[in-house]
Amino acid sequence: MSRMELYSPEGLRIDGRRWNELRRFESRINTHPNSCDGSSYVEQGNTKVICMVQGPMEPSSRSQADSAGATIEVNLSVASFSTFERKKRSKSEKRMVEMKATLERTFQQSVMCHLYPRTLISIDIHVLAQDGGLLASMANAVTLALIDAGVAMYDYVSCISVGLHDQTPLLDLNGLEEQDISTLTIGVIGKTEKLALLMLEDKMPLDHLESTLGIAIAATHRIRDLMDDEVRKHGNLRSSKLAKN
Amino acid sequence: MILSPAERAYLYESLVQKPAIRPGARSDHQFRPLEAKTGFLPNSNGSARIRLNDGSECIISVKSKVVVTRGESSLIEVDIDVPGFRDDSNFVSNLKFSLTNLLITKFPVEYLRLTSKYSFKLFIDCIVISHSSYPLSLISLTSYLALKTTRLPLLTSEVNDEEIEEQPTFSDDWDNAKYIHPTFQPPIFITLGVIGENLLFDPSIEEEQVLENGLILSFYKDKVITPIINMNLATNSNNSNFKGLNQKLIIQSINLCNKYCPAIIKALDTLIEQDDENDDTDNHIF
Amino acid sequence: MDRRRLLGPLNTVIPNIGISSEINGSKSTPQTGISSSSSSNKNDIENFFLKTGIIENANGSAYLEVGNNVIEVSVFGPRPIRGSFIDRASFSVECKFLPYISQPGDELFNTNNQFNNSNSNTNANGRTGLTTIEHKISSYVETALLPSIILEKYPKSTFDVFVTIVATETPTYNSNEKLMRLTNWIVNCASVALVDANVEVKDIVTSGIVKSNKSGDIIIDPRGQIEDEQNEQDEQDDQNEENVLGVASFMNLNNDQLVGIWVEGGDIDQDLVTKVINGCNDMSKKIRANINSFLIDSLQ
Repeated sequence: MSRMELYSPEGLRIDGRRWNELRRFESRINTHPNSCDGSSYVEQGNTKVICMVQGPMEPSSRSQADSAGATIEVNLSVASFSTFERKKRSKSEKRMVEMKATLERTFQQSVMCHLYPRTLISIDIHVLAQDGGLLASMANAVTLALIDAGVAMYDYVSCISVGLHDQTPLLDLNGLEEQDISTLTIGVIGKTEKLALLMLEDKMPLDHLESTLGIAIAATHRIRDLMDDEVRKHGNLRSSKLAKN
Repeated sequence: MILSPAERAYLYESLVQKPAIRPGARSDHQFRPLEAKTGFLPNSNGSARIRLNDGSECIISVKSKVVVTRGESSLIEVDIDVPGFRDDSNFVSNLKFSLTNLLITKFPVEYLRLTSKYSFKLFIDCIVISHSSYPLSLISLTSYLALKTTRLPLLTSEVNDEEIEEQPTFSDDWDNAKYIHPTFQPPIFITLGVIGENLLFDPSIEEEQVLENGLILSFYKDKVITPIINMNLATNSNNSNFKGLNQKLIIQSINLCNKYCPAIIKALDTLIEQDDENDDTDNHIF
Repeated sequence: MDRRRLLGPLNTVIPNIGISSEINGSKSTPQTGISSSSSSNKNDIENFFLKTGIIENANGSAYLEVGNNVIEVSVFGPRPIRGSFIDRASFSVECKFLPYISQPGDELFNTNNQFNNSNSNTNANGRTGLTTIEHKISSYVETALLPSIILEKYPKSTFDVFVTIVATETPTYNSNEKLMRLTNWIVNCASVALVDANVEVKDIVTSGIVKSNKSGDIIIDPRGQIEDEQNEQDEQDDQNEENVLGVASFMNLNNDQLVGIWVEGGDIDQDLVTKVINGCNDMSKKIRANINSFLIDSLQ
């Protein structure tokens, strides 16, 4: 196939968005009330992620018990049907291991781990469909699931991916764009400009980094609001049930 | 939940009563309530999700691929993923063997034939998101829904391509896609618990811990078919009640399944119909 | 037909010189049992050769040859476990084919072998994990033997049964039949190995295999070739779909308690299942008689 036009002179991307537009973001929390302590489901465009949190609980092996704070364990499973071409993925794939480690590190610092010494918080992530921005969707799903589980956090960790096409930053890349453009994924704590997560798998020119980060941070704030809406909606639903009893 | 010896004794006593007194006030041929959803994965030809009231949940996707018939040993490939178990563990391997065996031997392969040279190959991928009791019947009911709602693109090229060196072509319009076969009902597995003289349909995790034996029957086209196997449903072999079973119970189990399973199939079919009606408004998984 | 070696005629008759009883294992050397049934009646059971105590460092072991199947079972236990207290022994069965043997149904169930061998299937010790077929056999044998062992007598311990399949029949017939025939004999062999290991058991578990033909009659101990010769033509048409195959394992306790059942193949109904179970029970009784006299003999 000939090179696709990722960004037309009129300022439109392949899926018709402008450079600063996000894809449809939808989230649900408490999707699995009977099988785990906290759960969430995030759709970012065609990327679909389920996240389930167990804990804080007693770790099964003593090596996971840290007397200073909770241990966070992430289990990642990417369904073999998640991409258009079916492909069986092994858990030891390098990219998976790195994403798992990144998520563990991010949430180890964003959760108030010192409140839960000697416990384990186990996070299971299932990717049902992927179309770009995988790490961002996973991190957003984890945030929501941790909130649902009632685990104390400093603030929302909201994530977005951003790419740089020539000199224009493009927000929230889809799968096709991600193949051709170097992509940066950032996670921001609440409405601040503090980064909890930053991942760049290829390279990006330094002189454009600041503008790219700027637009990405603005986008994460928007994502935070969308997640907050969902959490509040669910909170209201629950409190209305409480009042009836 | 792991039961204490006292709880086990209490549960055992109530389950061997005639009729059995089951937790959750189920009668012995009653399944646990379930909720289901189909067709939520646009990237797959068919998809289904079933969730039981105890939180057990399974998601299945069916994907198809056009293959040269002669080059394939079977046109169906099953893969099962259970978090917490390795893919080559005994637990996962046995689930995979059972489901593969059932589908390969009973699936009417002629429905997948495209032309004289080419066929569809179905890849059935199961993810057991969480489970408490032995998940085989959960997986197989989900695969029923997924296969039943699987739609394959419409062939537009010639059926007889013996002489032609061309690959099959399909209609671009997804609305033309067809179900595997209008009257096709995929085979399913039913798990039965044996305790005393009683046979309990779809035992829960608590019941599994006190069962004397477990039976797995398969059901297709309104009657019980092979394979029929027995096994210890509790995953840890430390079930102290486990013992051999009376031969009469096998016959009884076949009769019971013949009597009650058509209702299960009917319930699943109704579920699909209802899902079809809501389909335009709601494509979400939850 | 294997042309690489001289196999001798298919229906070998072992002369029963000087033996008057039906059970003739007892008169041969104490460690060796040879089953009866020298006549070529359809419902007779194939001759088998059994020997115990062949592996020195196992607590018990048994070796069985039947047809071209060669099975070796070793039992380790009771062995102490590490970690928390358990009030009954745990029991596990692991069944492996020697690497050069083609496994029945290989092409259907172990399709992603290349992938497995390179990655997940090899664990840290460099031992490869079991294939799907090996797992299936292992769990049938485990289910069948579990009710017979008095696990309460062995707290804090574990029993491990290792089955090695040294040779199998040439794949001239239906892979399901080959698989189930093998499973059937593994159960028989493993029960003898358990006794050889002096494990306390309630009863010896023996097992039988039957096959139904199209008219609904039952053939006890089908040996593939007999059937194949008869309806080779038909089989190509319907690929054996009409035939029901059944393996069932029994204990003598409580009116021939059924401890394992595995039925495969075509359509079934109540009558056929009854016939299958009864057929298997008959065969398991004959094998039990042989094994019993063999065991009594080896004590003397």
